[in-house]
Formats: sequence, C-alpha cells, structure tokens
Amino acid sequence: QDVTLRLHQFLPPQATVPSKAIDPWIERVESQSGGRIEIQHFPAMQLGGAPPSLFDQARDGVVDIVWTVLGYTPGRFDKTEAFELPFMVTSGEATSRAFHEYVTENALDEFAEVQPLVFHTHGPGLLHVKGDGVRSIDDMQGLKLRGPTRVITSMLDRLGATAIGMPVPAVPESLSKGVIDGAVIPWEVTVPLRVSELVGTHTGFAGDHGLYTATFAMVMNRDSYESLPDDLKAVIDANSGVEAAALFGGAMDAGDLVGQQRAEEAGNTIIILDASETDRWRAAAEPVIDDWIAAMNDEGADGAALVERARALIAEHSAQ
Amino acid sequence: MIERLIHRAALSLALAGGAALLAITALTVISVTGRGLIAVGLGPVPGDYELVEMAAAFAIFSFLPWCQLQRGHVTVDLFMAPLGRRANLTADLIGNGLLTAAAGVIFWRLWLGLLDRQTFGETSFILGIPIWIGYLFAALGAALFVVVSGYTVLRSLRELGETAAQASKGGPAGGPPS
Amino acid sequence: MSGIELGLLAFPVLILLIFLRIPIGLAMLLIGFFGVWIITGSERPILAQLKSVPYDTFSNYSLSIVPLFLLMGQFATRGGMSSALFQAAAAWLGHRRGGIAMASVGACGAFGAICGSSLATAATMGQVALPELKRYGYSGALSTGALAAGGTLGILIPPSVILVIYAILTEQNIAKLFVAAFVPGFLAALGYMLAIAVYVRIFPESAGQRAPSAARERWRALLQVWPVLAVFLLVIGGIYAGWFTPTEGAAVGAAGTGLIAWVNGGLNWSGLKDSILATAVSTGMIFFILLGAAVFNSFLAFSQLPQEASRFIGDSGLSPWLVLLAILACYLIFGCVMDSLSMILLTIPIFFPIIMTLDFGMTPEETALWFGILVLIVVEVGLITPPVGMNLFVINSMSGGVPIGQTYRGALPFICSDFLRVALLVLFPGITLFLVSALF
Ligand code: NA
Ligand code: NA
Repeated sequence: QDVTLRLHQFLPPQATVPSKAIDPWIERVESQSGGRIEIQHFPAMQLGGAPPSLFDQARDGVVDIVWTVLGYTPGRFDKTEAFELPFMVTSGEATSRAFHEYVTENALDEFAEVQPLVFHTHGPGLLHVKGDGVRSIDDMQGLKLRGPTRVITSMLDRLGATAIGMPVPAVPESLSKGVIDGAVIPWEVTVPLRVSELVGTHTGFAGDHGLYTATFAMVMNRDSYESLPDDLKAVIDANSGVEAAALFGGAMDAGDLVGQQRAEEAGNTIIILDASETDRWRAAAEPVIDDWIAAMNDEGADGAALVERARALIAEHSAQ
Repeated sequence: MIERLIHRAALSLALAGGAALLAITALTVISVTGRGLIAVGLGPVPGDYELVEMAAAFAIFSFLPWCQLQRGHVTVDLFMAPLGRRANLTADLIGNGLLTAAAGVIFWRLWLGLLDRQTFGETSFILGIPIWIGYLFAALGAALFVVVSGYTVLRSLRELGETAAQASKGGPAGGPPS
Repeated sequence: MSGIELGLLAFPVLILLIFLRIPIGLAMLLIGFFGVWIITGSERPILAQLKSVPYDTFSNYSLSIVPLFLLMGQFATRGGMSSALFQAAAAWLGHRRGGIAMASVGACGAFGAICGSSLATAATMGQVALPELKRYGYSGALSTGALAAGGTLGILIPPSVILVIYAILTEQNIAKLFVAAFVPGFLAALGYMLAIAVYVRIFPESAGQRAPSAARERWRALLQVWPVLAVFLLVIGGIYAGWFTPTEGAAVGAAGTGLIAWVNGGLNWSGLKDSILATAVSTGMIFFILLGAAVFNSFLAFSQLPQEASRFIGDSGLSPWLVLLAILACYLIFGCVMDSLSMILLTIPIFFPIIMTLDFGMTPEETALWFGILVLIVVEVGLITPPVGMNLFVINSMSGGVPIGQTYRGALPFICSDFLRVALLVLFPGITLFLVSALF
C-alpha cells in the first residue's frame, strides 16, 4: 500500500460503532483504494490520552483519524449542541443525516482545523430507572439520575431530579450500589453497561421524538488528508458525508434494538409516556432550549435560527 | 540561601496540594451526606466529580517538586551499587539532568495545552468551569518541578565535588549515596 | 527498522536505563517519547500528546483514589489503627517462627478488604510492620518481601481497582467479578503465610521469635482493633449499602481515620503536616511512574508490538490451554518491567477477544470471569517481580536502608507461591467459579 493511516477511538473493538460502523468503513476505504490505503484501527484509547483529547489528537497530527464524542469538550462545539437539545432526535440514522448536513451548513467554522469526515448522533436517549420507574413527570422528584450532557443535566434538575454528573463507566457500579437511581442513555449504551440487569423500568416518550441525543464526529488530520494524491482523496471524500453518517447512525439504531431486546428478555417494564404526559415534559424542557438560544445569541450567532434549521433538517430526513 | 528558598517553596506547594486533598475529602463527605439526605431536601454538591478531578490534578502536580527534592523517585540501585559512590553520584547527575529536561518539556507542553483550552473555550461538564483554570493550577506545580529539578542537578554536582575533594584527601569513599 | 523491532528493542533499553539508576518513570517517559518520535517520523505527534497526557493522567477521577488511600493510610497509622491491626495479628501469630511476617500478611489481607489498591495496602502496612519486623530481628529480605507480597492482597481481595477496570473493558458484571476474586484472594493470603513458614524453615536465622502472648493479652489486642473495624464497616458497609462509590469510600475512609487520629491525639498540626508530606512523596513517585507508563504504553501501541504478538498467538493454531499459558506468560514477562494498570489497559482489548474465541468447556461468562481472575493474579505478580515491581519500590523506600537487591531476593518465595496458585486456578476453574454460581 501507499499510505498507512492510524484511526484512534475510545470504545473497545467489539462495541457497536467500532465493529458495525468503523470497521466496515475502513474496509470500504481500503478496498475502494485498491489496497493503496491501509487504516490501522486503535480502539479503547490504546495510543494514549483521555477521550476528551481525541479531537486534538487529530488536529495536532498525533494520529490521522479519530472518532470522538463532541460533548466531551463542552464549550468547544457550541453550534453542534442544537442537536443535543431535548426532543430533537428521531431515529439515529435520520438524525445523523440531518446532523451531518447541519454541521456542513452551519458549524464548519468549529472544525476549520481538521478534515471533517462524518458527523452523526445516536438514537433517542431514554430513562432507565430502578424500582417503580418514571410514569409521570412527578416521579422525577428526588430521583438521582446520571445525566449525559450539560444540557440534559440542567433539564433533569428542572424536572425535580438530582442530576449526578459521573463518567459513563461508573454507571453500572453506581446503579448496583444505589448511588444513582437511574441513567439517561440510549438503548444501545445499556448493552455494554448491562443496565437492563440493574434497573427494572425504561421510560420513553410518545411521538417521533426522543428525549435527547449525543453528537459524534469522525475527523481527519488536515495534513494527512492534503498529502494524499487526488485519487485517494477522492476515496476518502466518497466515504465522507451524509451517507457515511447514515452508516454510523444506522449502526446505533441496530444497537438500540439489541438493547431493547435485552430489557424485554430481562422481564423489565418498558413505559411509553402518552402524548399529554410527553407534552408536560416538552413544556418543562422548553426553558433549557431558551437558555441555549440566549447563550448562542450572546456569542453572536442566531440561536433560534439554528434550532429551527436543526428541526427542519431532522423533519426532512425523518420523512424519507 | 537559594537552597532554603527552594526548600520552602516546594514545602509550601506540597502543603497546598495537601490542603487540596483535604478539600477533596471534605467535599466528598459533604456530597455523599447530601446525597444520602435527599429525602430531607439536601443534595449532593453539584459537579463534585469534576471538582475532585481539578483538585487532584493540582495536588499531584504540587507534590512533584517536593518528591524530587526529597529524592522520592524510584531508582534501582542493584547494579550500580558495587561501582562506588562517584559512579552513583554521576548517575544521579545524569538522571537529574534528564529529569530536568523532561520537567521542562512537561511544563512547556502543559502551558501550550492551557492556551489551547483557553482558545477553544472548553469547560467542565456541570459547573462550566473553564478547563484552562485547572491547567493553570497544575502549571504552578509543573513550573516549580522544573526549578527544583534544576536545583537537584546543582546539588548532584556539589555532592560530586565534595566526593572528589574527599577522595583527594584520602577520606572514606565507596557505597551509593543514601 | 519496523515498529515491532523498535518495540522489541525498547525492553532491553528500558532495563539498561533502569539499571543505570535512571528513575523508572523517567526511563519509561524517555523511551516512550523518543520511540513515538522515531515511529511517526516526527517530533510533532508526541509533543502534541504531551499537551494533555500529564494533566489527563493526574486529573483522572478513578486514579484520585490513590492519594486518598495513601492519606488514609497515613492517618490510620497516626491514629494507631494499622498498628492495632498488626498487633492483634501479631498477638495471635507472633510466637511462631516467622509469625510476625505472617501477621503482617494477615493484617495486609484485612486492610485489603477495604482498600482497592496494592500500593496503598503495602504503604500503610509497611509503615506499621517494618519497624516491628526489624525489632524482632527479621532479615531485610524477608521483611520487605513479605510486605510487598502482602500488599498485593490489596488488589487480590475485593474491592479492587484492577477488577473494576477489567470489568469495564470486557463488559462483565463487577459484583460477580468481586465474588469470583474472593476465594483466590483468601488462598493468596494463605499461600503467602505458607511461603513464610517454608522460608524460615530453610533460613531459620532470617526470622526472630517473640514470646507467646497470654490468652487475655490476645483478646485485648483484638479489642484494640475496634476503631479499625468501625472505619472498615463504615467504608465497606457504605460501599455495599450503596452510600458511595469506592472512590468516594476512599475519601470517607480518609475523613474517618483522620477524625479518629485527631481524637487519639495523633493528628496535631505537625502530625497533619507530616502526613501530607509523606503522602506527597509517595503520590509524586507513583504518578510520575503512571505518567511514564502512559507515554511508554502509547509508544508500544504505536509500535504495534502488542497487537502483532496477539495476532501471532491467535494464528498459531495452538491448543486453547497453550494459548492461555502463553498469554499468562506474556503478562509475567511484561510485568517484570511494566506497571499493572497500564498493562491491563493495553493488553485486555487485545487478549480478551482471543480468549473468548477459544473453548475451555465453560460458558462465555464463566470463561470471562475465570480469565479475569487469572489476569488479576499475574499482573499482581508483576508488582513484586524485579526489576520493576511497584510494591517492591514502595516497601523498599520505607525500609530505611534495605538494599533493593535484598528486597528482590525476599520476593522470590512469594512469587513461587503465586505461581503455584496460578497453576491451581488454571487447572481447577471451579475454585474461582463455585462461589459465583452459589450466589447468583
Ligand atoms: Na482490596
Ligand atoms: Na514487576
């Protein structure tokens, strides 16, 4: 081969995205390049550093490609947060398509120093809680819940719960010990964390929109990309963009099905709040969205327009 | 004079790091108690995990200069021991020199990391504390680590000189430095 | 030179630097630094890494358990607690030949039942037991060897930081792993005591003896353990009752022992100052090595040596048992020069999938639990194998002048005991698994 690229990410190789999206993506690139590109996949932070430093590893050329969670560095990718707001997400695949388009259209300035490949999200996040579970907004009172992002954490606090901001790996033990009563994550993440064995109920929402999603990016070092010959650049380009995002989001959706299946096998109760109850939650979450818009306006962006554009893109891609 | 100044600086910073460790202890006890008493309207300290992380980084960076000054870093003496005091002091000199270089690189890169965090406006998860503030506190220890390491190079040189002087006077020699 | 050749070359160079009295953390840092530089062909990647790696390593939440447990050890010592624990064990065992060393191991085991870190266990009990061992004429080799080995009970007896990390990496149930570790951990304590018994029979001059304690004396010594018991129950009970996570437990333990030490009068201003400064030296030493290991491991991953080694094992067509033995041997060899936590972080993502494709006649979960305990034991052996054994260094640094060579020799009987235990657990997986199937 002509070029060897190093791809670094934070999950073990058998996890959903590494095995169902990144490995197939690597295979595609390698075969489309006629074997001239070789990509070495380094999972589980093997090359060193903590997950929040992944993005800079690509930017600074420590490695060639990284896959990372944008929310690991709150405050850095502000415009992408529009997709993390409550009740935006539909399916992982559709939302990922929308997200890639949204970033390309509105937020590329936040990624100016790297070559963007894929922007995607996970499927709808929901509540996984011990005991009787959450059947209405009133059940949130006094619950100790692990929140995934700053936005969701502040929403949980507004809803009367106590948000605990702990690292994801601490969730299973904290759940089993009762340090927390539950966690807010998508189905897919419940599988590696074995959440279904530790909680009894799962609470989702009526309608097409889930409570929240988190955003991810796969990006490439600028110089590594620029130094490729044009035909190999074309191979990378062909595997960047909305369709690649759909591959990642779709893998997340497939993972969600597995997670839901595990919960059913465990005999857990899956609660879907009805439309009127869901509206109460939406109303309670509204101030979170307003706060975000205000914060964006302070930074000189049009927060409301960004939220609107995100909603429109999600609606457009979900309808297809 | 300079020796006392460096000793005092390393000691003070180590104690400040210790205070941070005690603060972590107190914060965690308060947070755990609050979480246990949610029923009566108390709650955990918001952002306790990220505060612990920042305080721990400060504490550990602050401990490095003191550790170096107290010759706390682990060496294997087994194979150098038979070679006599002078060879061992020379090895110490080289080790301290390399450590000073490493400390310099660590401080230099930490400072650039601080500037990065500042440029990109990264904050902690819950409280939104700018991450560069954590780096700034860490940089105190990292900076003093460079100074103290540099001083230990001088100390090694002095010890080597004393040994040479002793040897020329026919004084006792041999055995690794304690 | 290929990355793999460079990776292979790194080990002799590392050992050479260490033998030249270069601090171990520094040696790993230097080799890692220049290794990545050579492999990537530019100084830029490793310099960029260093913008965040030191801060990330030192601000790691799960690692903050280390200084907290070290501080707890200091407070416990100043409050007379670890000494009470040791005295109680010595009152019951001390009159035997080698009995005080056995008591040290027993006290380490008791301490390990609340402490998730080997280093903290070694440091805490070393502080108490080393002076006593010296007083009763124990050789430097036996004293430091017994305590370095006893310290590993901190990891072997749950709770255990290493097991938590294994559970996360392999997506296994933490509670089941803790249960699986219990019997092997108990066997470890027993095996170390047997090793001492055999050792003092061969070298009778290496251990003194003390007069047997009267029955009343023994019970009184046991009674003195109550503050220890109180803190142990608070920490252990709190962790199992769900009041707090293990890391929080460390903070609660530090607060509890600090309070007791203060009440006992052992923690005035100068006592507090000394506790902090002693914690500072040990913490600085440990984290500088963690930093060096982080950079060195990063280099090893860049070199692809671990990946290629595992591929080689996987493709060799050997029987599952031979592969298992080869992997365990890898850990033992790596353990001679590497830090256990980083070793797990580096190799489990590679070795675990290989193990899970092999058939040992067990369910996948049983295989995963059993392999986890075996790995736990072999990386723990790494803490007491020369030349890089963290427990050896911790104990040696506290011993007041025992040459490191003697400490290396003193560890040998315990390493033998470890080997026998590993063989036992490999041959009879039921020892590890029966408690899990009984309780779950
Ligand atoms: Na333990
Ligand atoms: Na070792």
